[in-house]
Amino acid sequence: MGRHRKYILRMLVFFVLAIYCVSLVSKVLLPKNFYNVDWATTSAYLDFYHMERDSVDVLFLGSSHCVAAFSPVELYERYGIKSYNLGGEQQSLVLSYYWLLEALRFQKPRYVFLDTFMLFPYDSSSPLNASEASLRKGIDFMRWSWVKVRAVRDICAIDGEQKLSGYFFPPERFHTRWKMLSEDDFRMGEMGGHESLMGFFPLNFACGDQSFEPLSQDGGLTGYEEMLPVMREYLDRITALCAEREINLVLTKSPTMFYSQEAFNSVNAYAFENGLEYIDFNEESVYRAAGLEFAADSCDTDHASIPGAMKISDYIGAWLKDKVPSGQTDKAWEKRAEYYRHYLKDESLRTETDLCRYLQLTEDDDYCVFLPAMGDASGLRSPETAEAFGSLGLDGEPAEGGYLAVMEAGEVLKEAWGEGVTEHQGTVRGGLVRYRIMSAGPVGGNDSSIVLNGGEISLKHPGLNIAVYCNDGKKLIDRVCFYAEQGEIRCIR
Amino acid sequence: MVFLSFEFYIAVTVCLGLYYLTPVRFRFGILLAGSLGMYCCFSGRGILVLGAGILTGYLGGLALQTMRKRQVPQRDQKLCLAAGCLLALLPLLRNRFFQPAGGSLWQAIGLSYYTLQIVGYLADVYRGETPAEPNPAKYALFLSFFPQIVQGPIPRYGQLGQQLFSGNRFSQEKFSKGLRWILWGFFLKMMIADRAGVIVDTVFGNWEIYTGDYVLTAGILYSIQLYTDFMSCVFIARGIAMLFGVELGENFTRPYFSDSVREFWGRWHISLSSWLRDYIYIPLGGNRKGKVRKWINLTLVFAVSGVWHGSGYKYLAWGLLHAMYQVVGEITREGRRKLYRAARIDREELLAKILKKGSTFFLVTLAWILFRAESLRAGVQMLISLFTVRNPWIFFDDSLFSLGLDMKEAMVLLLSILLLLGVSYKQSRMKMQLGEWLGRQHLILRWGVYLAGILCIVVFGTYGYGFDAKDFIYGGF
Repeated sequence: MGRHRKYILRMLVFFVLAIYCVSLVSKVLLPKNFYNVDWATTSAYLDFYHMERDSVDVLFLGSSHCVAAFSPVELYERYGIKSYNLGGEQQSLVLSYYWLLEALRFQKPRYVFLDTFMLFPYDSSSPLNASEASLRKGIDFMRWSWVKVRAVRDICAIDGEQKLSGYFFPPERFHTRWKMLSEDDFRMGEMGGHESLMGFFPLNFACGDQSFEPLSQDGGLTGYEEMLPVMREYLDRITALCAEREINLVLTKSPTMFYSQEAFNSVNAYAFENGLEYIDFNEESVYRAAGLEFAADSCDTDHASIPGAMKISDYIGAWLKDKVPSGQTDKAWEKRAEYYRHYLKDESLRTETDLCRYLQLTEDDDYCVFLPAMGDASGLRSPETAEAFGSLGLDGEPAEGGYLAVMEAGEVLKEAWGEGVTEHQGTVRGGLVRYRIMSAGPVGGNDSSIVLNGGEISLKHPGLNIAVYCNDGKKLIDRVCFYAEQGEIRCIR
Repeated sequence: MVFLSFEFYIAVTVCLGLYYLTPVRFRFGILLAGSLGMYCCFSGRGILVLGAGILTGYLGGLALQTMRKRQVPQRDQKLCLAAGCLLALLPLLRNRFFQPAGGSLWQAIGLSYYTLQIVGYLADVYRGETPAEPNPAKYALFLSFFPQIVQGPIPRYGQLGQQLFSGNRFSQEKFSKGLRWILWGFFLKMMIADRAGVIVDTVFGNWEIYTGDYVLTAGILYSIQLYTDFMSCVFIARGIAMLFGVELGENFTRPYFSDSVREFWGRWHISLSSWLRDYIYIPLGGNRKGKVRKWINLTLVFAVSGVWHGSGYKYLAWGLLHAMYQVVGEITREGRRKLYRAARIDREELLAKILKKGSTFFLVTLAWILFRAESLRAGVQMLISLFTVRNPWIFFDDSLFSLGLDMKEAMVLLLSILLLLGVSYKQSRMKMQLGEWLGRQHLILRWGVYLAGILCIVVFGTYGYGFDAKDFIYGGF
């Protein structure tokens, strides 16, 4: 044995090295949802671990309804309350329980708000009431600890089709993902360190549905909808855990078109039996008190829109302000609030319809702006637009022929006019994004093109086509076309 | 399947630890316990058939040796040998000809392989080439040694026995070699065999609609799949055996580089070919009784080989086709030489080598198409369509990417095959295993190659959810 000690040691070193390399590769292969995509669960969970220990006073858990409704930044900015939203798409109560357990390893929240949507049948094909994809999104970026081991064990025990090995060795589950690797997978360190919206996902649409009817507080006569047994079991565990740790558990639900009176009754009864608060924004008194208007405050009849989320968060904040430390300031929340404000600015860009205001909004150190005209865009010219163009550092405005301009972080990279076809290509974001831009006036065939990393993004509509790409968000923010029609400047998206 | 299961490697690791911690003279006991234990776990009631085989071989060997010592008449010795062989062959014959529905009992792991081991052992004892093993435990180990029982190679008692029983001291060189072989085995299986199998399964599973060059493509890929699948298992088996200091024989020496079908059978599944030669072909007279008798013997041997591989008519037809190749090859040898002379092609020059190797590979591939087809009828239809339907545009219009592998997967397959080709070519030039050459290089290069291999398998390997790694093809025999 002594003779072979060196060899055995070498073997051990190699084994450790191999394990390390394989774990790195496993991380690369894991699907990620960073801040540059919708429902950025990866960023939300990774950012949670960056929060200072014992700094979070309020936690939100639950499905996408919770994610779209409760904004920690709103709570912070309006009431100085420090909260975090650990919800996720189709977050099964199993995951809600284990994320609570995980959160309690680092934080001591006083209040936990639990969204009740997933207590009732949602995905009947899954024993966990949620798709495997959403479960994986919700758990893959939880740090490995006894909590996660128990969580995956429970998941696999409940859903016999899932295997433990797929969690401990992700390449087994995501073995074909090498064909879909993107920048996110190779820069996960950097992207994982970026601020998040603390679990909140703003939805910038209004459903316009006028048919919503709030529920009645006293709806007992209509009966009760039965909770799924597995979900009920984990609700009980969450209730018991909160009781044990002296955390105030609040059951909650954001306004949803198809959330039934019977479901409300069931949760109401549960809350009553267990001495819990139940704040359901479907219920009339709460709905009215929050000042909600479904048509504008719901995005898709299921999830709150940005205005809806602001109202809901405001209501919760007002409810909480005497119960938890409020009026606080914290650098971590400040940073995320700054990011949130920029995010809302991105959203406002998408809905802006005035050309001059739009151009003003594009003046941002994070934006790359591409402006190719298609056809004769001279109808857009006016003293106001000339001023707006000038304030961006551009020498001129669209003319009768082709016109294109490219700007990055407020700097003009290219501006050109031409009778025929005018083209330009280059890179932005430190060489990582290739672009090719083309404008052709009437002589050149009335065309425009913006190609980013091989993908065409111009609307190709007559007029001034604009695309705005955010270097920080690593995504296309907006593409719009402004055109003149009957003396007015209109826009199309 | 056994070699791909996590539990198997846990068992191997435990067995390894116990083996080297045990005093040398008792180590074979650890191997025996480990082999029988693993066999029980993975084959269930099949252990009963294995047990019967052990008994047959052990008692048969002792009986034959005793009869030989006592100079019992040859006729009686032959009767005893025949009885022993028949007893040993019974389970295999039942499996082949009576399609038993008894589950694991009659479809025991390695049945085909250890049956031949028993017959070979009895024949060797009968001939006096090897002494009968008096220790039943040692004989049991010879038969049940777990790395080779699944898919061979089929060992001879004289070659393997001593290595198993003497207890081997730990050798760093052997251990590293063993690990390298296991890694290479996984690479062949996960990067080539199973990936090629996707297209093979699509075409052969829908043979009515895939004709012409689809059949040719699938046939070539099946040739590669079968080779790499089988070779991967052999490498893993040899690698695991090497961890215990046991050297199992090589079973392949670049068979697709052969210049003739005859040479192919000297390089493919060497342990089976040599077994057939030593225990059927030569006893029948071999080539000592004239050409016609030789051809008859050859046909019988390949018929047996066909039946050994499976119970359908297609296997028999496959065996007979190979016999026909060799008979016709011999008949036409002189004619082909004249053809080369007439075309002024030197038989040693590159063009001749390409023609010989290419035609050999093509003939072997045609036979593999029969072998793989769902039935003899399907195989014949596929072969007919290969020669009568011309659709070469499938190589240009992306049709091949509709067979289950997209372009990226196909590229990985192609690169892996090229790597294998490169390694094989290099080895044929170097006259040594590339693994041995690698073992002599600097630590950084060695570790770099090992890590690259591991990571390639982890990233690109065909395993996991939605892509169950296939059973080793030859493990079904």
